[in-house]
Amino acid sequence: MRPFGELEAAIMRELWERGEPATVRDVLASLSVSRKLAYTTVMTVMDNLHRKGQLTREMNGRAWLYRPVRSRAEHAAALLQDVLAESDDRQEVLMHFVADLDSDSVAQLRSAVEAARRRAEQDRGGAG
Amino acid sequence: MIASLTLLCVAAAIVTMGPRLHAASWTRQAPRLGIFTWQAMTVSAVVTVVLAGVTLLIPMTALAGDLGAIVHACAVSVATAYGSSVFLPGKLLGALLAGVVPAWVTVCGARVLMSSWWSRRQLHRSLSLVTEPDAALGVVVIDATAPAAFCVPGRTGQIVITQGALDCLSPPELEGVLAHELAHLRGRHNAAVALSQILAQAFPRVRLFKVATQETRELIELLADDAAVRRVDRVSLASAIVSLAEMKAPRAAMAMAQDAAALRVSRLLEPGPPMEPWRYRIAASGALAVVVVPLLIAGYPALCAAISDLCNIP
Repeated sequence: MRPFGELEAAIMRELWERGEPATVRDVLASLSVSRKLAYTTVMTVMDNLHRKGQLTREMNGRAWLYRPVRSRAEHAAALLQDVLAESDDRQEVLMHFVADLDSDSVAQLRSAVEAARRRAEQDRGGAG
Repeated sequence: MIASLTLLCVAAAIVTMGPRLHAASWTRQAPRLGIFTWQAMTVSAVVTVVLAGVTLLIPMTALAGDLGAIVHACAVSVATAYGSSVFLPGKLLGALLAGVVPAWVTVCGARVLMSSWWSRRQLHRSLSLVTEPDAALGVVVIDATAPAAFCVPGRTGQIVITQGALDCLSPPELEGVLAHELAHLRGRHNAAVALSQILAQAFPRVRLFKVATQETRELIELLADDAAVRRVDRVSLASAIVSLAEMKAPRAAMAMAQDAAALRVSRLLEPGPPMEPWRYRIAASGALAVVVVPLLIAGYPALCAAISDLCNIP
């Protein structure tokens, strides 16, 4: 998954924080607090995001109302899945705590851990 | 000539015998020394080949400088000491080994380092949109329900943990996970992986480099586990490994990953005795010898020539 460009990211963040559909003018008003932006710039980027399938829009009166296709959590989940799927042989980029395991071996390891925990508790009980 | 041939034999020995270290069990007892040994073998294999090339070329370079009779005599004696080939094929081979090999390794190194730098940058940018820093834990939290934890190394290295993982891990389990990831970042474990990765990409046919990369990957996990159990008890860390694995959606997993995780858990639950000091010393000397012996072989004729009368520059 290619990361959003800087302005794209700012727009997505703004729309997620709003939690409701917004026009280009609304977004421009919020983003203009911290920097100077032209209306056409924001319009172009939001149009691009729509074409890329990140935003949906509907006509409201004379302006488009934009809203993210995926919630922030959904986007995060998709990103995570992507990142971890390609991480396994790129440890110099990302070191994953534990790789994927099948359910049989997980169950085996779980019972070994529980047995060890019981032993440790018995030892502690015996000592105390 | 003899030095060059000996060096080529040494390189061949390292490349063919090296992968056998895979079967040794002591690397799991002393992962740091294990990683060092793998790195020593891979780097030394390449350096030895380059040295063989350099020694083939010596007379050419030594005779090039016309710095008077004494130096000339010295150069001749150095050249004689190496018994270097005056034939063109020898020179060509020397130039190939001493010039092309380092250049190729440099190119591959730049490629690997650039591409991982770029990927990490992209990753940081993608993550910044969906994560919130948690200053108390020293991590960034990603707003996702699937439990997972990982770290992105580099200058702006960070530990990333999902909200799902924070919810499902007990406090000692969480501390173990964070200590493990912090050990990766602090220990610059990615550098060891990158080095072996560079050589594996530069010489994909050489099995030693492939095995060394795989082993390094496995051993840095053990090294990070060892660092983590200084902070939390072993059972909690083992439990964290299993907890994060079992909460994930089942997927077709690679056999190698299964074995690696099973090894980590069993090593935490039933820690073997530490490596005996004498065995540790033998292994460490072996790793050092792999590095030092080729240098000695390459330097020995020069040393002999230097202490001979001809080189006694008044």
